[in-house]
Amino acid sequence: MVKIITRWALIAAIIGVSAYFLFPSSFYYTLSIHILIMAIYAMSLNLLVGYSGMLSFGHAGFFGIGAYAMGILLQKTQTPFGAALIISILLATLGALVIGFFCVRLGTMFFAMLTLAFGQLIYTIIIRWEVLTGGDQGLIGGLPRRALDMFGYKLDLTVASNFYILTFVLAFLSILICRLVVESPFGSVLRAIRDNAGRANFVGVNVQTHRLAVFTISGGLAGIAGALMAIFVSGAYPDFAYFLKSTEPIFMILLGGIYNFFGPLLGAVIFVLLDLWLSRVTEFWMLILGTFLVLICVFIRGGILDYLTRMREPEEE
Amino acid sequence: MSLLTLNGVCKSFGGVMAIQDVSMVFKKGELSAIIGPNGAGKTTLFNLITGYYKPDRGEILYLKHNLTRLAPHRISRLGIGRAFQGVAVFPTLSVLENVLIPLIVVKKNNFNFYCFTRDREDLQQEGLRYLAMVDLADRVQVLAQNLSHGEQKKLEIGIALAAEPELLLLDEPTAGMSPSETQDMVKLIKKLSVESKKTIIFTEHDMDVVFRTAEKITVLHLGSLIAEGKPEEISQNELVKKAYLGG
Amino acid sequence: MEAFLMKFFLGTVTGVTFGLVVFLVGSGLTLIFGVARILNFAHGSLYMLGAYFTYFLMIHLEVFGFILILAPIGVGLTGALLEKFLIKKVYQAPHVFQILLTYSFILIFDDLVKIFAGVEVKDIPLPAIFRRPPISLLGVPLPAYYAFVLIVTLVIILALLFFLYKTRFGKTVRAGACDAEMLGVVGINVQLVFTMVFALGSFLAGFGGALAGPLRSINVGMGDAILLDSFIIVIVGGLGSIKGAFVAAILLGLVRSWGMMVFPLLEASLPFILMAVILLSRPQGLFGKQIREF
Repeated sequence: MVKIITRWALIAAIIGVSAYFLFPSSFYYTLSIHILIMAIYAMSLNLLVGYSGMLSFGHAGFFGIGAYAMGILLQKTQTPFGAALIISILLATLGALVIGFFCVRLGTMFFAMLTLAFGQLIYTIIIRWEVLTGGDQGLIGGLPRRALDMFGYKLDLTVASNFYILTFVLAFLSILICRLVVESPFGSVLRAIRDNAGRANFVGVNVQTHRLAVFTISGGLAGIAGALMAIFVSGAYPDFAYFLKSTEPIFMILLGGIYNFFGPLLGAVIFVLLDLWLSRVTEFWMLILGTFLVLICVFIRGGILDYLTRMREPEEE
Repeated sequence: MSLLTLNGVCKSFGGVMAIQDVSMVFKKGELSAIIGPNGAGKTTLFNLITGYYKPDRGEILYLKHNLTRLAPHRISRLGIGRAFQGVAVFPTLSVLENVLIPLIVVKKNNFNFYCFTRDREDLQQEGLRYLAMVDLADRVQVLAQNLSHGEQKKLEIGIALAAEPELLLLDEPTAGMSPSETQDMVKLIKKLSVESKKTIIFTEHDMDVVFRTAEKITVLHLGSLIAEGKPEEISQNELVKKAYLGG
Repeated sequence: MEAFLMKFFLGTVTGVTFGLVVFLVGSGLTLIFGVARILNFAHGSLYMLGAYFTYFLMIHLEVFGFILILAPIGVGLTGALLEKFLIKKVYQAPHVFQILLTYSFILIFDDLVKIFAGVEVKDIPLPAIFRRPPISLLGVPLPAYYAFVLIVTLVIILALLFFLYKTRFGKTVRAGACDAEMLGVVGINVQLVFTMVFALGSFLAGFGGALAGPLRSINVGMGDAILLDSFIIVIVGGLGSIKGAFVAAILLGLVRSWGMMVFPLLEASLPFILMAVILLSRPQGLFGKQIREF
């Protein structure tokens, strides 16, 4: 395990550090932060969709919990930044645990419906609890970007490059967690459940507890993305938790590759770049995404990395 | 010593009596077959034993455990393995990964997040051992969905074996197989019974296989047990002949 | 006290009316799932289309009764086309892609409606016949249009039941819900049955939308809300059970209505609480069959 972490940390450090120095511009940092946040969001969802065969439409709810918890703590209380971050993540994880408990007990179809319903419950609470969340306006007024106070060292987060470092580190940790989940024995069992839950059940796998575990982890990671997003846009909006917002990570997963570990990451990169370009051209963004998803579902059923790996697979007799 | 006992088990589905007052005893080390025309309730019986259905009445005892109210995954962990009708493998996983799954459970590693499966030499070695048992050692990296039907059935038995069961339930193991594949399967079943000392109960339609392999035959018809005994006795039994030919 | 009783009675009636509209939409969803085994996420959008078709037709024609039939037929046709050209292609695909396909339709329809009708909330004017003093039902004044919706939905439900249980095609549909493969074996054109079921389900959703139009204003998000409600009644009632969906829909309508009167703050969360409570005790829904977890 130590070997794995060192291997990965080295690669990440090389990428992160070189990028940090090669492109020292505010625009680059902002773009990368956006990509990294979306990457965490998409990869966490793919733990469910690609690796466990669980299509969840409530993922935006946990993103929303992370964002609002962060926003409320920073805006309305004096909680130090680090503590606020940790609390937000814990709340999202807790939410996922509770909601997951209800949702994982039934099959795929029910799961899709239930996660949508519970996700919308979160949205409804956010909209209705105006006193706390600002209602349908959201948490406007900006979030104070307090410094991250760690072991005496203060990281001033108002500087874009510093926020970039924080985001990069969190993204690295999140992706590492995803990697461990996927490649560990737990991950093998998840894939078995995806392929044939009945068979897995009858070699002693308690399918529900495994699904609950991955759902909880996935929700917690979405919370990280949400908390970072709140700081990034300096606010939190009810839209974050609306089920149609789940379309974005789904699109990223499908575009980049649903059955490939780095697929969602690739999808996130392409999505953010596309978003930059397309939102200037048209406001009918959803129409394009929707059409694209239709084409993928009907014809290709996989993303870029899926397609590439299929080509490299040796021919079976 | 009796391993599995069914006492007065009844199961109905919406008014149709699928299993009527069935009582059976299976001894440790036995290699027996359950036969009966289609609809006799063979698969239902397996489903009852493995916990997919709960009996309306009666009880099912395995050693000293009462299986009647237990969930399937718990029953599996008590030492009962099953190969399903049709094929139940993990299609997108490789042949080796398929047998690793039960090994992971047996070694209580199913919530292990802190190592990579592919780095676990111990799991890989054991997995290879089970693949060798079912003659799939040369197909290790092949994806399960790319195997031939006969190979998939063998893999399925391999998966069931890797969970280290005492009792193996095989649901129509030679269904859809060519004559040579059937031969292989019969050899495998005998090997498991004699060498690995597993208790095996299988259901079959291929009477040739049944009479060549089983030490004891139980006959079901319309949910009731109509005959039980050694192959010679069964082949002479009037009730059995009538069940298969008429009625 | 009397005023409260009147309000309570009125609330009950409007709750039931609303529930019936949700049932109309939900029954279409259940039908499609029962036969084609497709969970149609676009069902809310079809409801929305029904409302918007009605809106446009009202501008050009004035005869509400005629429009009330025309708009749903338009939606039924839309559903049939979607099935024939797109959904048909994913019947053999993994569930993930089936669900995502119908989900993508939401995105497309939402934007198409925005393009053709704009984002502002629209009002469908109450047809002239209904601009009259409230009808008196047991001494309580009931808005005329509500009474109309109540009657019409009940008529449609009865027509649906008659269709399913008494006509040959209806029996084919019910047989298909049990075992679609068998239909093919006995020589019935399964593809056609699927398309027709989609058309019927979409028709029902569109009808719900057309009826609901004049009740409240229409907007692009209305499909999402009814989709959520349809899911709730299907979960609470039991997937595949029309009877369950009916009971659940009435329950939902009443919970909303009474909730609005008694706990206005909590009102929005009540349906979810209802759902969670039912799930804890009976995960398969009130009338659902014991489903395999996988």
